[in-house]
Amino acid sequence: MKRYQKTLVWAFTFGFGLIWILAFFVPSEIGGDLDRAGMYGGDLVGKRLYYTTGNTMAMMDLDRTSLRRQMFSLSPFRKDDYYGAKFPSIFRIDDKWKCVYLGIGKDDKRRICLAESDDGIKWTPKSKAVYELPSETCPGGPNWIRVESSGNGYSLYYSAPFEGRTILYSAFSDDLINWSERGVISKNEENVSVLTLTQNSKSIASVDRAQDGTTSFTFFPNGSGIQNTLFDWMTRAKVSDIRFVSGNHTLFGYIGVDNRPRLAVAEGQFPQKMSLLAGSLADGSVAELGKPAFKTGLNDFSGRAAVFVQIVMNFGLGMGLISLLVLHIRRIRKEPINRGYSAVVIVSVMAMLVVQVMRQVIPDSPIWQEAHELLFFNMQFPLGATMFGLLAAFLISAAYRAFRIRTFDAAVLTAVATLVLLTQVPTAQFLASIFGNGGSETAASIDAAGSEARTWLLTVVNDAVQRSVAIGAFVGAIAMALRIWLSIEPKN
Amino acid sequence: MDVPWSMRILALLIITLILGMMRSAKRREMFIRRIPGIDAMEDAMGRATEMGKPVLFVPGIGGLDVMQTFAGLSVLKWVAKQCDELAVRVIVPILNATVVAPASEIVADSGGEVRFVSQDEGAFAAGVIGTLSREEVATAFYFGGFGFESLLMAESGRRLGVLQIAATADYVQIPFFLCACDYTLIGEELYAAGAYLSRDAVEVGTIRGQDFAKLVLLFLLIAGSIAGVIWSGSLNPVEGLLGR
Repeated sequence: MKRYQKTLVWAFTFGFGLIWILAFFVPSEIGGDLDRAGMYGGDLVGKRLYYTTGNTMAMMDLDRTSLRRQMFSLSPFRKDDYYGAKFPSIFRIDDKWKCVYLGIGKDDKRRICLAESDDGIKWTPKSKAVYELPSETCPGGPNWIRVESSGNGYSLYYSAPFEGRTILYSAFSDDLINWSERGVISKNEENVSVLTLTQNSKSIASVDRAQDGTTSFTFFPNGSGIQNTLFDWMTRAKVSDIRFVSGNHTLFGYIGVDNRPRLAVAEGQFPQKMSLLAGSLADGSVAELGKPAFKTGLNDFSGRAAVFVQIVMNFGLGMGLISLLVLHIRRIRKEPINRGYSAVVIVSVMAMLVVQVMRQVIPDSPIWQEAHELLFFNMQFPLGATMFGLLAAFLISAAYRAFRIRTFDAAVLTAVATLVLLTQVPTAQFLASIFGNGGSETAASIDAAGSEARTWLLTVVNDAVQRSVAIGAFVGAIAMALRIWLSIEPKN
Repeated sequence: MDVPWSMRILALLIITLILGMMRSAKRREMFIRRIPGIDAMEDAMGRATEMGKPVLFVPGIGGLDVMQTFAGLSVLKWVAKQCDELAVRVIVPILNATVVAPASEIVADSGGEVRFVSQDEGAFAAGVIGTLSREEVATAFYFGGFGFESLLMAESGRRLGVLQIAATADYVQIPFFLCACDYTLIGEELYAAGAYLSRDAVEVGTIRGQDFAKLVLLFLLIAGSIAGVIWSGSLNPVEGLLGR
């Protein structure tokens, strides 16, 4: 390799390596204000607005919207809201403030969690979730929740996927801690998803989404005769969330022009007239969103670099084909002994190439389809299957050698392998019925014990060894990558 | 989604340890434990010389995006150099086309042959088995990442009486090589082989760095196990700090 070629290779290796390393170490977003990701899933108590931003919950006073703070930090030591806390529902019970929210746990499952506060500002979340929803209705937990006062208790509404759409379920509690399931409350017509639901003493409102993505509102009792100046704005702004909140207000959630979710507050509640709160911004939003984060773009760049690699590889494919043909044509001309093999290579490559190209050019032609089936399904597949079939025979001979009992180690290996093999197939039950007093109960208990032993061997002993190999190989791969990236591979 | 900060710190710690050991290895000689499989490589080369038969070297089936391939190529450097000194022919069958150029560069001085066999694993195995048989290979080295063809090649080599040494980090293939080969290097030993053979100070330092990095991971494993027992039923602090 010439010197400039070496320099070029080194520069590319180092440059691309550096991008990937920076993409790993540098966050994709730097800085930005607390609610840079937008506001959604909110609740309003008095003049204090609680809302979700990104994966956490924050709050602000409507009188001083510039002052915002996080309700509480996510902690690496709480497992039920490890990855996120969303959709706050706030209640004042006696002198205590309580917040029911959706926690995203370490296991990625979403559960109902509770936080408490003395003043509504400093919040302390409970260490464990208060309610885990039934796994048969939503195995991973709900996508959205809301808790509202109803009569002498609290109703929890939550949404979960059902046959390709989203439907609503409900649960009830007297104290926000012990919940009892109430089942489906709104299925709506087919192919329509219910996104959110809210209620007050006189009416119920929900936001529905049709299969084509359009959203609409359902009000109960029917509000078609109601004159409401906000209906136009709600449709124009593509409002996707509605919530009746305390103080005869209504909270709306919608997506702003910069694709960040926003909240709007209206005075009045359906079926009364609703109008946007005085002081709302021109687009209806209750407050300006924070400064967005600076995007490093390293992740995008590393993705684009992968595309570049793909393009280079495709060029390589073309060059490889030309190189292959040149090499074998030269062999046919100059090497009389092996020219037969080269001829077979050229004929095979050209036959496959022509058939595949013609199949694309004339897709309806049965000749090329049949030729494709002959080459692919009748020749290449059986040849591959033959090689794979050889594996079975080789496995037996290798296993025979491994399990010859010459040493203590080999004896242990043989015993364990026999146990795993016999408990893996119905043979275990068959043997148990013969040797285990002939009774079916004995057979079943021997089978169960064998299965347990096999599971333990595979998941404890075998996994531990595999992981130890994997850890060593992982560290070795890092060291090797560093040597190559920094070009410190010695020359032997 | 971004990588958790704990993982960034851990990766940085591992890289610092490896780089630190590389630097210190330049100043003082470091001990490196003996690996029987690598010690046997010189004998295997001697066998090929005495028999006057070629050596076969397979650098795995991965491309240049697989670290095991690079580890295999670093051993190929040593094999090619030995073949050059002992006047033994080395044959290098290749499955992944991207490996042809670097492998050719490595064996260029020793007059070795790099053969692109096929991109298909079954066809590649058939090609290697054919080479083992037709060329009457004396010694075969399998260094790199492998799939199901590992057993096809190694078992055929054993039947033909070829002295075989294998090294792979693909733990599913390790039992096959253990059954069929004379010596097998397991997991990380593949990455250590190049350093062991070259005795280059920087490479030896890398292995020492790897050992220290493994000590860190071992400490985390023990701490996690203890914390898992103490905080059973809830999130233990080690798991919590390490993130996803």
